[in-house]
Amino acid sequence: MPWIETAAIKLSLLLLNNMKKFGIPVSLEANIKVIFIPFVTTIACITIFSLLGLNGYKRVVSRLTELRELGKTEKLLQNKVDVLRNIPEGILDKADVALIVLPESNAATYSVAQIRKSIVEYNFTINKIDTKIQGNKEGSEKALITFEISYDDELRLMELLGKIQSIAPLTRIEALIVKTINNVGVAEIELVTYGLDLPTQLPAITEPIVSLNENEIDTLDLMSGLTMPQTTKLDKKEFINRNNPFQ
Amino acid sequence: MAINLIPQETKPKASILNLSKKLKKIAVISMITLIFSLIILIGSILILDYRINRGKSGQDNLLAQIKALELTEKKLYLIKDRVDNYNKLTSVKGTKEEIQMLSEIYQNLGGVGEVEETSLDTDKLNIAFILPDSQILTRLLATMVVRDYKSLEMAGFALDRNSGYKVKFVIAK
Repeated sequence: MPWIETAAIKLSLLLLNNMKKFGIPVSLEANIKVIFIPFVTTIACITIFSLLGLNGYKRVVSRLTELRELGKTEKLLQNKVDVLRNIPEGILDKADVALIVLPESNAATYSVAQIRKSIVEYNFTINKIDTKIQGNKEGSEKALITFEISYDDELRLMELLGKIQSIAPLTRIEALIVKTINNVGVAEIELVTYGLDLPTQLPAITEPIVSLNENEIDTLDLMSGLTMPQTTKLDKKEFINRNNPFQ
Repeated sequence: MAINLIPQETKPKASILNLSKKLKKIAVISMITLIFSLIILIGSILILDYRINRGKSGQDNLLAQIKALELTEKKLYLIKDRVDNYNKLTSVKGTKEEIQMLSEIYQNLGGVGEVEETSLDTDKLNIAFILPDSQILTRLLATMVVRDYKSLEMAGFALDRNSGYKVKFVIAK
């Protein structure tokens, strides 16, 4: 702050030149002359030091805080990059499987198709299929499916039930009623399957990320082990230009 | 002998001169301290600014890398979401155990007796047998008693001359 120094010097010269005018004795003038300059310099130094020091200290502290925050964020981001780069091989390929096991919607369609296929494989007769969709507040849907089938062998029926419990989308048997009507076994199977909304947005870019733990990987393997629905894959065909019959 | 022509009243006192010397020393020390402090402060600010800029560019670089890995992140979040929900849904008690019980009963029956009616839900299994004679009934009871069922309740027992014994159980595991 050069203006402080200039002001101090000007003030001291003014005092020195006008001591008599101010009624200060001459002997005192000599004493003051000797002390004045070092005194004012010291005071000026202390003042400048206090003002600049305080200001500078604040600046240094704010920069240190900013640097610390930057360090934290950088560490977090680096960790995120490391996690994303080091996801165990094959895990990400199972994202599709996870989505088939718990689809966003229409889970009942896939389940009914899968169960129907299994029943046909076992040579059982389907008497009735009934599906009810229930939505809930969280945006997920729950489908209640009822199958009534005629069967010829209880053990094979049990086998079929075991198979139904291992299909994708996730399907759970809620209740079962088995009766014999006119010497024919009839089973009414009540099932439930789920559709869940997809996550709508990714967390903030600076939010930490955790890779899949052992339990989650095991669950994902379990999900991959379920019987996936068979879908027809249509091969891409080349477009064929038709001949003009009028030429 | 040195002659001093300066009027004695303009000569500063010895004590003041001494004080002046001390003040000069303090002023010099203050100046040096001030200069050093300023150098240190300015130096610190410049170094910190440099490190902040370097940190910011490093952070920008990492953000760009994360942006490039966004598809991976999306897949990871989707998998985590589905795995969590799968665990939640499968943690609720289902009918797996009851179906297993029923399957074991059918296997033990070996085609000798007949299951007239069965119903099961997430809590219990109701089963009604038709058994042609008492020997088969005894064998069935013997096999059922040794099973580790939580509860085994005989809900009905009747004898029909034409079909045999009708026995009803309510089983929970």
